[in-house]
Amino acid sequence: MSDELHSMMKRIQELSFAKLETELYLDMYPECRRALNYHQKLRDQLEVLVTEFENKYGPITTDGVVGDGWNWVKTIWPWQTDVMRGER
Amino acid sequence: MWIYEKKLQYPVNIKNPNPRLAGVIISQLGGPDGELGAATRYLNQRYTMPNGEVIGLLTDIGSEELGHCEMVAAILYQLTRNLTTEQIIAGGFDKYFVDHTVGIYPTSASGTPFSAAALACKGDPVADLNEDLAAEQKARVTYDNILRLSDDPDVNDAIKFLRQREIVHYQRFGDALRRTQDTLNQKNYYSYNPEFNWNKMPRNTEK
Repeated sequence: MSDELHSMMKRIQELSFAKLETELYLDMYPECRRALNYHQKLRDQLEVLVTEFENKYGPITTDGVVGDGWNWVKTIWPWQTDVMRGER
Repeated sequence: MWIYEKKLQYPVNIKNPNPRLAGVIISQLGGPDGELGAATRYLNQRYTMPNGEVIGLLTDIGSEELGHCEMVAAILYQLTRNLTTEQIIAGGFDKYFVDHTVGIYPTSASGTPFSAAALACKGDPVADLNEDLAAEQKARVTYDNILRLSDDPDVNDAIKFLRQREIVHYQRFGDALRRTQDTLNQKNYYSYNPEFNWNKMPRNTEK
């Protein structure tokens, strides 16, 4: 497993986390312009990064399956760090 | 409708198996204040809530809690990899192992299987949002207790993230309770239940 995969996934997790935090805030303050702008910025950044990740390393959602085969079931599942470390 | 994302909300990367710790942490999946109870509590409460904001919050926090079930399950999976019989017995994991091997079964640490009795849906927003505030604090205390029992930095890193989420959800539910009370009769919050006497509520959902 490449370092780039891990650093890209970490960045996706960071952006997704910030986006979710903003969404919970917006649920309670739906008119907040600052939060809306911040949310849009995060969406734009995530869209680019997720597409790049899915093209390189495999799908994050089933919509992200690219190419001929059904690689949804071929890439590693998120809890299988033993497989990532080559222990299994 | 839900869409699965093939990633954890926060990375879980535990190197050393530890069946004793797994037997304790399992309470945050299937115990009385665990993540499965949290997800089902919020997702069930939301249907009859009187305003779109609170329904949205319960939907989004409830969905996040499903992701926390996955994180706790990932911790349990990684703590119970490649165990020897000796480790299972020494770690006190034999009573779980005999029934479930190392499958992830939602139960409390003391062995009570997950029960819907651990969650509540009273059908009244003041009652249910107060329930949710208490639930977040109870889950926070459980994570505090897990941190007292664990000395594995890999485990503690993920547990500290989950603990912090309880505090954030508590803040948001506080906002939701205040917002709900602001839309009720200021002289008597209890003059009617907006989840039942809904025809007395001002409409704020766009058609």
